Amino acid sequence: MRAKLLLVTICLIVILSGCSNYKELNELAIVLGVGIDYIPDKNIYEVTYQVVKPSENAAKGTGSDSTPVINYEATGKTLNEAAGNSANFFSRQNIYSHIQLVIIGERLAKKESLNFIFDIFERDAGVRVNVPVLIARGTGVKTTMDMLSTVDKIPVQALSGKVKNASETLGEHGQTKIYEVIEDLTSEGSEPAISGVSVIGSKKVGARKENLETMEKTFTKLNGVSIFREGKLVGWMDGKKTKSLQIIDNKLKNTNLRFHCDEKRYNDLTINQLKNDTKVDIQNNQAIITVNTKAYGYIVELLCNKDISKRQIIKEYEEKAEKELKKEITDGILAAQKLKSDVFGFGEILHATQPKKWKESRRQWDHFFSQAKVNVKVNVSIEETGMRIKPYPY
Amino acid sequence: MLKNSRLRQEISKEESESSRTPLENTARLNVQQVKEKLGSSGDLINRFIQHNENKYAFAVIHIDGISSTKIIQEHILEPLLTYKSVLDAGSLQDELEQTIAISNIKVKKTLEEVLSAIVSGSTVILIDGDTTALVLDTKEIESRSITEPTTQTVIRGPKDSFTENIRTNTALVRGRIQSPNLRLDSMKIGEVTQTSVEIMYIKGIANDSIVKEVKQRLKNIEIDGVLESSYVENFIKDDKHTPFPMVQNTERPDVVAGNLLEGRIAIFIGGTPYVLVVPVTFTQLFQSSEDYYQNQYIGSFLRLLRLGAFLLALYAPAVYIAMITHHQALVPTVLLVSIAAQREAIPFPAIIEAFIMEMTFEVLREAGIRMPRAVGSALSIVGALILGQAAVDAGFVSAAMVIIVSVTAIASFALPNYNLGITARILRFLLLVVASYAGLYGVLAASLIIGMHMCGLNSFGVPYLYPVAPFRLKEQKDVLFRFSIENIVNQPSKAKGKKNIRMRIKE
Repeated sequence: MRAKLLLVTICLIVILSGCSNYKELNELAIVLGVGIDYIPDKNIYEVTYQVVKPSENAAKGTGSDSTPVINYEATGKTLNEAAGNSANFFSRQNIYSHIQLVIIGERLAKKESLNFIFDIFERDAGVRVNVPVLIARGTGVKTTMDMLSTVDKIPVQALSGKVKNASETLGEHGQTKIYEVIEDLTSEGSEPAISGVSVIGSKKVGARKENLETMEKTFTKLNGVSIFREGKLVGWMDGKKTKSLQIIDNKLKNTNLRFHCDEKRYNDLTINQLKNDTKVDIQNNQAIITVNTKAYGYIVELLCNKDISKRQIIKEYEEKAEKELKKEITDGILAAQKLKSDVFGFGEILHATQPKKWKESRRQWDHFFSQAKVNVKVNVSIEETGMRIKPYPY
Repeated sequence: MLKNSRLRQEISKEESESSRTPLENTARLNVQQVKEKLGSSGDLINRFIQHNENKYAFAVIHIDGISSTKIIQEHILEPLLTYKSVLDAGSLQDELEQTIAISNIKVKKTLEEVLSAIVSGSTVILIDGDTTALVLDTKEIESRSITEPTTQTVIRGPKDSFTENIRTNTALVRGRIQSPNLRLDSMKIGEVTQTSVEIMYIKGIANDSIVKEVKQRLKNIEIDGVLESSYVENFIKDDKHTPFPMVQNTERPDVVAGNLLEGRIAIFIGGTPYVLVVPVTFTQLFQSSEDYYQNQYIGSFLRLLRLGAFLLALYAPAVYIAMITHHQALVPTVLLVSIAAQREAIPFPAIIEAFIMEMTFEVLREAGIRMPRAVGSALSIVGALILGQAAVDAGFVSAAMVIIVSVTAIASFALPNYNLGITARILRFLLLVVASYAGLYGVLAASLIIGMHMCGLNSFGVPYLYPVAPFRLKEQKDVLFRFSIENIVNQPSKAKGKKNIRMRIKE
């Protein structure tokens, strides 16, 4: 009797429950990239989905030699509405668990704000939040995502590869992930800074198969770092000073440092270890930011013919390198101060170290930050000189 | 098979009627009775010898083929023919015993005993004027010579294996353990076949209560015939409905010897080269005798590898199905895209695809065992082509599925115990169905149920998962890792005064 009852129960469970979560792989559209933009006149979001075409990306090509991905746009008053509307454009159900990159349009970042954009990413358990975010600079979101690339066939994969590569070897662009943006947006003492991406070359060629066959390719390129204030994009930081963001966050892994060795020429160091210690204090109604950086590196290129076996030459180079690195950091902080946006998270540091003073100043922290006195101390030590020591004889 | 047949009932009825028929006084009458009982079989040979002007007559009876004609001729007939009696009939039996050059002589008094001796291959001498019979052990059945093991091979280690002859088998183990404590208890099982079954254990190492339990269970077996050790296995195993092996079988004498030293009990069964070993623990099934013959590090590595192979054989298809139908997020993007590309053209759901492949493989495997040897190459060509190439090209199954099924198959062959492979095969299908219904959640739930089931199993009082659950720290030296030999082998000199018994039953 008990066995029969058990059998009936099992049968009922199996038959009635069904396969609620069962999705066949060939009925799914794997979304690899999402681009979000905003049309202010209509007050709607415009979402671009980059869906992979599996047969074009298989190890053994069974495809018809067409583009490796499909980009299509859907609009809606909310992001979820747009996602729902995308069913009108595509024959398969989207899955978002393999998103590799999110691109935000400049219009959205400037006119609207990022404040609530990422809510759906965080709320939905099926989406990852450790995905890098980029801002499309000067080009439309869909256009940026349309640019075909060769080695990494999928455009968003190529872009996220560029972000990773740049953050690891150059240090000018950090991998700002969704959860980091959310953290920066929600905390009072810091603001997000997100790398930008631009298109170099003809946009028409870039979006065509042609782009894969020519050597005059259209590329996407990381271009500057956008600075936000209260969730809105207020300006861009360009060039070497963007390294300061990575340095102060202690995220810099590797970078090169070029410095003058005489009036015309430069030497080049590779910094492979960098430690930074930041202190923030408020004295006499003024914020004092002390940045103390220790960098270790090795010489990779000398364009001045000096004898580096002498200790004093190395010492001289170290001093010059310190000066250069100090300039990069100071410039970065100054640029942020001008935009009144604490992208470095100095407020957070003050909050953590001196909560009382933070409590008094948090209302006007933007003001405090923009007026802060900045002391930057840099110590560079050259630990290796490479394979050649003697100067060239000419 | 014949357990409840009419034949069995008739025999038992007949036996109960005349279970103790005393022998007659004259040899000729006795012979006639024997012939009657055996239905005057063609292979029954009887010979009358007369002496002293018919004063003494003997009849020599044996069955041709299961007894040694050479021994009978040289050591029984020859002395009997040249025998000159000087005594009277009263002590003739004693005198014959002195004359015949056979080591094992027994005296029997009933017709039934005589009959069973004859059918087991002994030679019987019936004496005129005496109601007793002499039973001479002349058993000799043609059997295979000792060959290399076919199902449990090793690279390094003894190359002999058991044969169908029970005496050869016990001798192979006795040769390895030359201890007076090695005990061999014999009995007959099978009311019709009267198969010899012998229990071997080492007194002082084996737990007495387990020995007693084994004997009791063997005695309780009611069956008409035992043709293979699995007949006995079915009767003595603790849980009849579990997919897990509850009795280990082996054709390697060194495995039996090793298990005896660990306190286990071996059951030898006549007519099969597979010897049963009880009690069984789950961890023991992952041990190969070669673990001990090779370096301890490679031994440990191989043991972990086998555990991995078992898990692979059990879970690979289920986890694959769960991943691609429920948890696409868990698959690395590149792999997911690649699998999706392969699945594009497949018309069936993933679970059907899995079943097609698994079933094809099972059929191929079964065919490989049953087919005549001569068509082997044809089968392997067809199998490899159909399974490997054509099925994928034709769009029946995806290449990823072929890989999963092949990995599963190879993994199940890597297990040292064939029984364990069967367990993995049965449970694999269960997990496959559950995975397609409820994904990894279902796989986890099913694993929990399997785990609970395993925790509940006992083999002759020893918990199946011993020494992992219940956990015994001191016994862990031969579970996942094989420690060096001096750590795991029983050293009687050190254990003096302590209990030397290896297998502990549940406290």
